[in-house]
Amino acid sequence: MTVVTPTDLTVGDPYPNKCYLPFILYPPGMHRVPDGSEWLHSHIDLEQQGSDFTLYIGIPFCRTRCKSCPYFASLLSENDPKGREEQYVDALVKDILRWGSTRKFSTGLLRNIYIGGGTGSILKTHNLRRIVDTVFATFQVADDYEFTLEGNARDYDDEKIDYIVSSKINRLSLGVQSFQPEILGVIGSPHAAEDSARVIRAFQSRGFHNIQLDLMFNMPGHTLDIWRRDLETLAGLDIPHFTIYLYRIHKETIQNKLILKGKVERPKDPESPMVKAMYREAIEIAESLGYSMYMVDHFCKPGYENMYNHWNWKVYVDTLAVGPGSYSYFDGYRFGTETDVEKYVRLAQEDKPLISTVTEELSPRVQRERYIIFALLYYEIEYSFYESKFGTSFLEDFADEIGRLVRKGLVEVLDDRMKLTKLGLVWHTNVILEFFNPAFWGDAESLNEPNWSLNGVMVEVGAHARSHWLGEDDVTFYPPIPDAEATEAGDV
Amino acid sequence: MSDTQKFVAAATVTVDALTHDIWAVWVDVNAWKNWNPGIDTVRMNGNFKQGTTISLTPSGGEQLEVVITEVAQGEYFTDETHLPFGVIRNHHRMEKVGDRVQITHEVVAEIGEEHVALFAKAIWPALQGDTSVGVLNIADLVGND
Repeated sequence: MTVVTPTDLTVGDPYPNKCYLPFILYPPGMHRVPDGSEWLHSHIDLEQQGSDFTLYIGIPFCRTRCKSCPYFASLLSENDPKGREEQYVDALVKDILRWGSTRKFSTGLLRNIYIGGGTGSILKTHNLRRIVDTVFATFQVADDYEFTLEGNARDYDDEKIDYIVSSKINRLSLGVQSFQPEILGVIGSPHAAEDSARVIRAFQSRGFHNIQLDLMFNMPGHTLDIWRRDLETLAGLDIPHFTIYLYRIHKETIQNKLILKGKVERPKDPESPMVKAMYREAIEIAESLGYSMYMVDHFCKPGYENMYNHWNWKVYVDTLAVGPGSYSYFDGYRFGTETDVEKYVRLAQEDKPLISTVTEELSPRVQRERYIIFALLYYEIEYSFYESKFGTSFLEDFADEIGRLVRKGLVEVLDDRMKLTKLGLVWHTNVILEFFNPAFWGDAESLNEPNWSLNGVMVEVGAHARSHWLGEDDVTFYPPIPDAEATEAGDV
Repeated sequence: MSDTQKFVAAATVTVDALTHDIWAVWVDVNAWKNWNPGIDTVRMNGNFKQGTTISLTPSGGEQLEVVITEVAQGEYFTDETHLPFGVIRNHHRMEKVGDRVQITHEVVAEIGEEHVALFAKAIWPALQGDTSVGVLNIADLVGND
């Protein structure tokens, strides 16, 4: 391999391959357990005094599955002749009540609640009400709680909007993706182009303003011109929070098949001039409108940060996740509930949890790695907070990793914190991979374990040798990754 | 209904595929041309749900208004077109058969007696043919075979 010396900084890249991850889960490697109930009771002390925690409630249903969606979802018919929605919510309520009957969660303080999926908003209004009421009747909820309902504009009629505005749900997250009909059709979104703006305005007219929306860029057929129109529409909606996601083609999806068969245009290379311009313009427009990018790809007006992420990743509290396809984290374990909705319902009726895959108990070192990996989404690690959390020194615990990052110009070590540089932000995912435990690299075995949502993507990253993403420890810079689509500049 | 005559054709294919992939192809109405050779242009006017209209121009024909009349996500949908000579309904359904999925497209035309001869000669053969080709094309798009 040709080694580029630091004097060639302007032409060298810090890593041999750039990693893109839409979402981060750590540690990725998990193994199945035959009896989740037995595992829970033998590994977790549910009668201990509780502490701060967040609650994720997964709604596993969608009206249609977006064509490159890597998440688990079960199609739910609007007429629902078998009553699947009612059965599911019955089970969910029982599951929440069962967790709430433990000392750990009845004495803990619930900081933040998030209904996601699938599609949280797909539920009928009376079922949303049952869930909200159950949460507040079961747990001690912090006075300054935040309660987000995630979903899709297609699901909102006046009755549901009126309920939400009057309920304890105080934040809405809409998967908008684009405001352009031609793009929404190609990616298979369930809503029509005009739905998002209609629903946002309906909420705002009722005094409900805490709304987040998710946009995607570099979708098939997406051009800089269309992206600019999306950003202009966004600007006109006056919402306080939005995210931008690079569209990804996940291997086992219908979108990948359609692309391979020439029916859908392949998205541009993420390193192409057009995609870089899309990202740059989004940041410029956001800043000109008074948003700040307070965490990677998340923009908000002052005071509107996503507090669910804040509690989970920055404050780093326990996460209780209920519903198929969800992952919890507490007492040093990650554990997941598989995607079988009917099995989840059946076990809930038997008053048992569905726990399907677990990690080994995370060592103190891995727990610290996990904290850093998530906290770096906010660009920095504060030494004093780290020490208050773990009782040790960040600079000492990760001296080797920090040294490499400094050498590559990816972080700055300041008096009170370590901070990503601009280059570090560009290579953000590779930077966090520096904190992966060496024992987790080359883990091809976990590819054979059940994984869902984006855990599979994380497992694929970890199945590589460390050197694939991070190179060799004694090499600082690599030849630049070829700009595969420099010739596409004409498409911009 | 005594003054109409019914034409029915159906095509079925069994394929190693995921039901949500088949559904994703069905609901992307603007891309029906990817699998239905009888369509020149098509555009859905709203969400994929009961009552939504679709502006569709068949190959060599005039633009028509098609209405989605039944939707059960992940299972079936029906669309309906009212024409001067009768009504054409397309029933699309899928069903799990073991590890595979059976996809069926049934077209039912109810044609006024006075138009039957012309319909049978000028329109029906193409509709029948497109039905068979359509399910095979969908199987090709979604299948793992």
